[in-house]
Amino acid sequence: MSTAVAGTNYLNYPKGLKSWLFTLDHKRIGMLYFFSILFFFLVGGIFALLIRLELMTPGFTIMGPDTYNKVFTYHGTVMVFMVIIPMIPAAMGNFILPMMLGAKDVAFPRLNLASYYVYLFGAMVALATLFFKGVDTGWTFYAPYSTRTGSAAGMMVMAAFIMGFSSIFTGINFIATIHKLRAPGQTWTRLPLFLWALYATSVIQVLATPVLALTLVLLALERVFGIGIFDPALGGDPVLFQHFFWFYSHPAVYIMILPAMGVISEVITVFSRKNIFGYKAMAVATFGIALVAFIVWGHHMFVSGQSHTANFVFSFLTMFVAIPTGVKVFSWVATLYKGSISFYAPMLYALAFLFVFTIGGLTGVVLATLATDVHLTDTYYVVAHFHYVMVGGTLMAFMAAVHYWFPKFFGRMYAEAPARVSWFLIFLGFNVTFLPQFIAGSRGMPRRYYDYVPEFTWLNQLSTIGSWLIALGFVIAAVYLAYALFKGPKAPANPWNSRTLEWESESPPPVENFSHDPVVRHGPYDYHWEAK
Amino acid sequence: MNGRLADTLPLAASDLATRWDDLYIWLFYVLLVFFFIAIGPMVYFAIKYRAKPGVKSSPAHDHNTPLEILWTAIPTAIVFAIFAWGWIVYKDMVTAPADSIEVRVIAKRWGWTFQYDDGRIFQNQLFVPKDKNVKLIMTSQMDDVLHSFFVPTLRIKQDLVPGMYTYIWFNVKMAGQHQVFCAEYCGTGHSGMLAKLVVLEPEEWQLWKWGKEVPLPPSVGVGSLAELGFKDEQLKNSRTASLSSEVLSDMPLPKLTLADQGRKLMESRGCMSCHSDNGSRLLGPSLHGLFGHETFLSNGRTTLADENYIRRSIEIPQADIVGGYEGVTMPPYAGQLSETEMNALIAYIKSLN
Repeated sequence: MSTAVAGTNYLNYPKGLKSWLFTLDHKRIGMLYFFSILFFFLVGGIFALLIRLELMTPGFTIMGPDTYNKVFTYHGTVMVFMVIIPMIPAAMGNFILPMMLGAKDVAFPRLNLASYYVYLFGAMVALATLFFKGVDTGWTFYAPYSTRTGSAAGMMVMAAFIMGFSSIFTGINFIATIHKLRAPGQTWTRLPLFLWALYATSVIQVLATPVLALTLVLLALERVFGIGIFDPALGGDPVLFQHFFWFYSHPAVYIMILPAMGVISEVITVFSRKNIFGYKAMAVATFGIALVAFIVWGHHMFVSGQSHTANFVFSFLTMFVAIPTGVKVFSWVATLYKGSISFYAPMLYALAFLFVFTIGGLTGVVLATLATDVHLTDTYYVVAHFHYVMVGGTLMAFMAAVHYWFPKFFGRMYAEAPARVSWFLIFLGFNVTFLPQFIAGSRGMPRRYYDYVPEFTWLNQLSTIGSWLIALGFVIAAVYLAYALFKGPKAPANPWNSRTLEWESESPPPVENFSHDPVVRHGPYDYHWEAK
Repeated sequence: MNGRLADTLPLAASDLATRWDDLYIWLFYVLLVFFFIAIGPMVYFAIKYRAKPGVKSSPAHDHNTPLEILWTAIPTAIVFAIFAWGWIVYKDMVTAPADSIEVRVIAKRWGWTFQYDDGRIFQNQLFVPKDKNVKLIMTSQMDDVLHSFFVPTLRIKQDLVPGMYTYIWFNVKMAGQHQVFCAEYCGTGHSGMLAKLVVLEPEEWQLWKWGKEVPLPPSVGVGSLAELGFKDEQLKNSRTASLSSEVLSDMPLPKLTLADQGRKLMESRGCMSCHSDNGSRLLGPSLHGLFGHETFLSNGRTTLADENYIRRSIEIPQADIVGGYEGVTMPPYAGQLSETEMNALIAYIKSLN
């Protein structure tokens, strides 16, 4: 690691493209992830707009059914594996986690860089499938469809397999860093909740991702060598694939949402000037969700042909998810009580998170209930539900995090007024897009439908108009954030008057994170510390 | 308000669909209350405690044990009440009454085949009587993919899996043509893989059973705006190309019932030389009184002889050997019988009770 030179920071020292591409600095690796993810978000977003445009009218609008099937497959695959999963842990976490701990870097900087390149390589393989006639399996790769369709599906599976390793590397790194590199005074009960969230996420990444890897290897063996594992014509069992797939992919849902919850805990306390309500219950609830994550996968399979006994057990276990989730929502709201609340963009996104995530969570209870799930599963109700969680939850939290840490990342302030306009458009557009999908789904519109019966037309058109509002909101955000990046006013070290350690350093931080050795003397949300 | 909420649901055409609606609407209001309990205070606090000059936030109010116990315990009790109600309705949704009329369903990309006990086969039209219990025994063709049989007006859905039988049942209270969707993604023609569940009044059902022409009742509920729904030419073509015969409302009765077809097939395939139909022991176990009974296997387990067991025993006989028949080798029939033939064989074995 290079030594600090006065007046330099991690952005401008050392200089040169090579110093960025081979950097071992967690902040730079975080930024590499950040800008890669923004690019893939743009790609996934364009696919989303194409889906909505096609569904503007029943039948052919702008593309045929085979193209449509590929478009929704790429939207799902890009957004899940390349955007939502790494968006908060790998981009935000990489930068913030060591700084919040008061460390100079993560425990294994080389592994960290490797994780980035593994991710990038996997993502490139995934996008390269576009030049091999594309993939039309949907992001779930259900067998036996996925074992029989065109060869690009094998490549896509390989891409997901590769990106899984990136996820495992990051998880290992974060666990080791949190255990070994905490600054003096950074006790477990002073650990910011964002770090508890990243810890729980890392545990899931390390334990669940290998199962995905194994599943995808089995799928590859079947495709290449004709070994019957999932394909009934070869003596396999297609329902087994669903078990394996969801054994990973359900915990993956919590890989997506737990870091988002961590961000919300940070932002809500800072902008209400209040200690988090029920710190211990919050930390316990985080791990509660992570634990339950492993034993509820079968709730994706209530109509798959799985036995009724298994359905009984999985529905019962799934209900446990609601309890820690409820505790968290109530605690966030209680944190606002007797606070002094200011409505900067990060806080607006955090409040939007509470609103939409609560809808996402509650509709999850409807889907966890056996009888109601039978009618609603595989309809737009499910589509709306998981967008309320993944977009309404994770993406809103990501936007909160981007605005909150923007001054720290780049040493500049963004403009608040356009940020509020953009927030309003995204929040409104999101609800205009996805609320009608709950109605379309409960009225029986199946998902992954290229064509639909005329009754659903107005609901789909509303949804399409909503997607344009979201797009406009993000275009505005891209413009004012890009402007701030180069021309924004210089940010002070701690513009939000936060108490966590990353704000003790300059903005942007020096190469070694802190120009002094940080010591922790108070809790992460102790906004009345000086007064004592 | 109830009426308004019910508008977000399709027409309910069975008692179970009505029970489903009761559960859903109750659940909706319970969750709506929770939503307001969480988001109401959020909005109120955000307004009341907005930053004001000279007013500081409270250094306390960061825990309250009784409150935390309360908001853990009450939701716990409620979600398990929800779970219990969900299970009670679900159990009835998946338990077919013993007196059900059975129809066999075979799905393939991108159409539905319905095979009746009287030997008739219909494509994309499932004729059933009103007010009678109907059980579907469903599978997807062996070299095909997953499909899902979804009737919104009945609130039922079940995946069809190649190589395995799944079941669903219903009792429709409303005559008319009800929309059937495929709800498991299956490729190009997925959204065009439609069928109509044609529910007939008793008199019409009697005529239909005799093979006479019956007037098709009007479409009801979701999908009734479009007779054969879909505008896209490519989908229409993919749909008709996948089906061998035209859509008909009447079809003369074939000479042989499904079970008779099965018996004939057994004779021609030589099955009868090892399996008796009267309980006497030949080289292999007798088929008499087999279906629906517990069978003792050579590995000490017992298994219920249902459709899935019989199919497996025909396709891979070595998988489960009946107790007392160790060392007897039957050749495997995997891949040698079509889905309709397999249905006929099973129907015949079922008739031997």
